Amino acid sequence: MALTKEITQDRIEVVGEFKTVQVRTKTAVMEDGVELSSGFHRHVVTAGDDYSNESAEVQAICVAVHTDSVVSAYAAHLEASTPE
Amino acid sequence: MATTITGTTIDVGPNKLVANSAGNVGIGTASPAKPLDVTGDIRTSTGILFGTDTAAANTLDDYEEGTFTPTASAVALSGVTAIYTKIGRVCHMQLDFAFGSNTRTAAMQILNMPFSAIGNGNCSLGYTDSGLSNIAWFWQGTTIYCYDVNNGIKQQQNFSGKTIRLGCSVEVS
Repeated sequence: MALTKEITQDRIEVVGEFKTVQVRTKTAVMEDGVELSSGFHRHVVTAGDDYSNESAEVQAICVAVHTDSVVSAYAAHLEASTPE
Repeated sequence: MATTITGTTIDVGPNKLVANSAGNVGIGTASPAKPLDVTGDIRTSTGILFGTDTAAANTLDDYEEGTFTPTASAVALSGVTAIYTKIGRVCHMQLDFAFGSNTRTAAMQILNMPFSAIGNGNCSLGYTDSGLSNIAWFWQGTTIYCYDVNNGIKQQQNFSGKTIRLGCSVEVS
C-alpha cells in the first residue's frame, strides 16, 4: 500500500484572440496506482509573459502562439481597454 | 424473446447492482429509492440534461473547482486564499489577500486569474480595510483592475497592508 503524489498538467488550452494559454495542474494522491483524491490549480500565460519557467510543453505552445504580432496586439489591447 | 421477472429484486453483487420491483435501480445500494440511485460518483462522457430539456447548450458538461495564485504588480501579497468554481462557461472566484508594504503610485492590478475573462466582470467587495474608499474592482482578461467608482479612473491609493476580499463571476474562455 504505497501512497504517491502525482502532479501533472492535465489540461493546456489556448483561448481567445490573444492566445492566452490556460494551464490546469492536477495533484493526485494515489494508492497502488488507484487515485484516492485530487485537486486542481490553474494559472495563465498571456502574450508577452516570460514563460521560461513553464514546462517544456507549455513553452513549446507559447513559442508557437505568442508570436510577435500577437504580443504586440495584446499590448495594444491592454493599453486601449484599461481605464486611464 | 425478452425475459420478464416480476415481484422480485434482482441483486448482482451483492448490492453492486440492484433492480427492485418498484422499478428502481441501485448501484452500490441495496434499497434504491429513486429510479436511479447511486452510492458513489457518477461519470458521464457528455453531460447531464434535466427534465425534458434537449438543448445541447443546457447540458451540464463542465464543472471544476480549484485554486490559483494571484500576484500584484510590484507588490507582495500575503494571506492569500484564492479559489474558483467553474460551471459551464461561467467562473466564480473568491480572493482574500493583504497587500504588502509598498509605495506604488501606479494603478493597482491583481494578476494571474485562473481563466481569461470574456468582457468585464465587476467584483463584489466582501470587506476591505478602512482607508480605502470609493474603490471598485473588475476582472478583465486575466487581470483584476482597481478603479474609482466616481469617475472610472484607475486607483492609485496607498494599499500598503490593506486586507481585501473580492468575489467575481464572469464568462470565461
